Amino acid sequence: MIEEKGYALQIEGLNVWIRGKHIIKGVGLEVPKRRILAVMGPSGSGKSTLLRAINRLIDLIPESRVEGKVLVYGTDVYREDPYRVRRLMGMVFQTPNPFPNMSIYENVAIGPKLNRLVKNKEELDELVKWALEKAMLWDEVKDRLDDPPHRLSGGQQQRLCLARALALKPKLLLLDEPTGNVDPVNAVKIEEALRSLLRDLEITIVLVTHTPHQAVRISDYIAFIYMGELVEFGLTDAIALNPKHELTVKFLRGEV
Amino acid sequence: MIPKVDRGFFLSLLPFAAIIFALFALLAYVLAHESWPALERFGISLFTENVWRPSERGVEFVKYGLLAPLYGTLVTSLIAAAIALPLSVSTVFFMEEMAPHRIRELFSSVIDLMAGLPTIIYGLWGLEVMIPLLRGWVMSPLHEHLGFLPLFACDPLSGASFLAAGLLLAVMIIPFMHGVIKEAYRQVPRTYKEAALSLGATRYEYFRIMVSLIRPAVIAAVLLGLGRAASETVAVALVVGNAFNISPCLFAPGYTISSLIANQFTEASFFPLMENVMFAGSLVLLALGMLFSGIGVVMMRRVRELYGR
Amino acid sequence: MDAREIKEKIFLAVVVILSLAAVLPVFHVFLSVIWNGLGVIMKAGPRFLLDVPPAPNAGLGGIAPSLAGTLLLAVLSSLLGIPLSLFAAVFAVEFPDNPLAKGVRVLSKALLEIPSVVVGMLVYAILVVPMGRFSMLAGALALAIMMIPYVTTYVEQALEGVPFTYREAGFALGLSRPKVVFDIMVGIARRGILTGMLIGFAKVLGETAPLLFTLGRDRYNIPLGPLDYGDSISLLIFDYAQTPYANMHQVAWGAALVLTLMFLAVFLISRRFTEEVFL
Repeated sequence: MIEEKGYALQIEGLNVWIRGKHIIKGVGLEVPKRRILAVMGPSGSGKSTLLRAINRLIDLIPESRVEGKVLVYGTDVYREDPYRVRRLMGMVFQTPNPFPNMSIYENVAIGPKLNRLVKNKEELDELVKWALEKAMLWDEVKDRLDDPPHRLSGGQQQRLCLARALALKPKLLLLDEPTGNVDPVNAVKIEEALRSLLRDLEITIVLVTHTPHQAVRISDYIAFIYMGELVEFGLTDAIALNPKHELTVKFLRGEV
Repeated sequence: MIPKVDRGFFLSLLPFAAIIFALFALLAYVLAHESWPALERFGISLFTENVWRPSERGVEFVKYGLLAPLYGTLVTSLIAAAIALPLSVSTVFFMEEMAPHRIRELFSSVIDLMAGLPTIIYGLWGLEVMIPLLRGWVMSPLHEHLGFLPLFACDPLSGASFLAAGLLLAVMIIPFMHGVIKEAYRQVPRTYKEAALSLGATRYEYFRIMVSLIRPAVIAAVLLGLGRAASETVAVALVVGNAFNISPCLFAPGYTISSLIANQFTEASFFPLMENVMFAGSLVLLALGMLFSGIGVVMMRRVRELYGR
Repeated sequence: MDAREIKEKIFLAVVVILSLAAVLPVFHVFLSVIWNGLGVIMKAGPRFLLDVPPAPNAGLGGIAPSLAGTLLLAVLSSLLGIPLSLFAAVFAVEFPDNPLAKGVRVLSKALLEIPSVVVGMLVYAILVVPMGRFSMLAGALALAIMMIPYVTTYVEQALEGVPFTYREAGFALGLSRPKVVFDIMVGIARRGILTGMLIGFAKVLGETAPLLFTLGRDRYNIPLGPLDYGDSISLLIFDYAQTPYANMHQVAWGAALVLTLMFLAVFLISRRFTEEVFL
């Protein structure tokens, strides 16, 4: 593996309030480039909110307030135009949400097309193919690119959403429990796809999950969040073998 | 506060919003400005007297009082609401509780059709089909046998009358009242329905419980229906008879505010103050409509609050 | 059977009878229009759609200028009313906490409470009088005002019905807000939006009162521009039903059939769109 200099993601003193409720409490962490960070914690602990604070989807939530600093590849997310910042990142959501009114092809093409990243149809075709390959979906859909996405299985839809995000060639990929609503076979495929992404591309991944197994299996770093606080953060091996905090121990055992 | 990044989007949509605000501003200005001369000249008598004396000779020769059209508006709308209420309550109960699925779908399509059918079609039917039937089968027999009652005392000349207008309006506002009552009926939580039925109520008793549960909505339906009926124009203009007439007799021809405007506004500019009088009339119409729908909306909100959502 | 049960039976019978009584008139309306209208159109032949109306007691002629007027008005008013309604609805949905947007939401519905004849008087005062002439434009403006509450209601509902996750997905792709709204949300909500447009269209197709003082009732010339005088089928029916001439009443019935068929066509098309979007 090539060692890259500098951090892909740096978070400092991040606090988030939604309707007066303190959801994220002083979180800080740093992830080097081309690594996978798994954010784990029980449901309702603020994992999804943390993810949305990174790409500023939090702006869509009324009465939300953010304090602190988020740097993505050196770009200060809260000092830049949110729309430009989001283009650095891709996101895959908990429930597969391909746009129901567009074909499989269009779902992948929409991002590059609307952001004017391609010059012509050939380039777009190639990009769509590339993204679907990276999402390990190409072989399954190459003959039916014009089908609506609801003809795909849930797991395939989720990989389509991955391809949709990858088509913008993001440097940071955010995944919000991407395998939570997917059958085990597809879950494995998605994990495989993520690993191969990391091998082949200049990309860093933040994966939110509530299953400790997945976190341990796939990640380089683990952040354990509980009730909005960062309980423990470090290299996966270190945390899996020798968790420092009692809560982390309990969570890894499945007791929280 | 609009975030800075969205301000451009906000500002580019703002003109369309401004047009809608401007429409209301213009409406208020036009109505006030145009009706003021009539209000200033005739004062309250514009609404308390029944006179229609246009003259081309000059302002000092004209005299107008809108009492007859006001009376006609009130009478025809009340007849319409009185007839439409039991019918629309029945259709709601029938569709929600009695009809099998297919019939219910059919009924609902028909009611949608009724709501959308151009009003001029109702008007033509009312004039050419309903009135002759009504005159032959209802008005004349009633007049002959019960002519001693003031309601039926007058001879149904052409048949165009308060009754004809009220009846036609009833048909036209049924889908509307049906919609209001249905919306409320569906909001009554299942548990109430089950509770009522588990008491061993017959369907008649169940119906009475349900109606009492949505009483504000029934009142709302009546008020909104009255507003609708009062503002209906061309269909009424064809069947009401168009005469300045205040009579307790249902078979007498009359006028409503809107049918008066439909009939005479085009020529009104030839006569001093006539346009202004009609704008004053429309002001009353609008005020009544706003009042009724305002109360209606409050009533519906009460139902919504009662049953959540 | 005890008294309670008898009461129930009577009640149920009354409900059925009243329900039938509520819908039977509209069947009678349809049958009358078909019966009378078909007779007239059979007699007049296809020229009914191509000729100008007859003189009193001189045959049937046709309703070509009024038909053209109705169609042109529907198009013209849609051109004015639909974009306005669409953007106003987007404004109301996108900035739900803004007082201006709240105002738009309330006012666009409140238009429904303005009697249609008053809309006609308003346009007469703000457009016809200043321009010194009736026109298709004035008629179209009045109809556009009539269609706003319907279209905005449907568009708002359709946009609000789009699950939040698609919105997030759009923003996550780095799309600007207008692109999220117009390229993603509108696409997903397209059926609801289309239904709203069709319902607005159907609504103005048959309107009469807003046109009484705006259009000029020139039923002998096909309007060629927005500033020409024009006519509509509905106005023709209104006027001819009040004449003392038998042939004009017949023309009115023929016209009523044409108008009813046009309305039914739009109604049926809009019905096809009312099923939910597949998500």
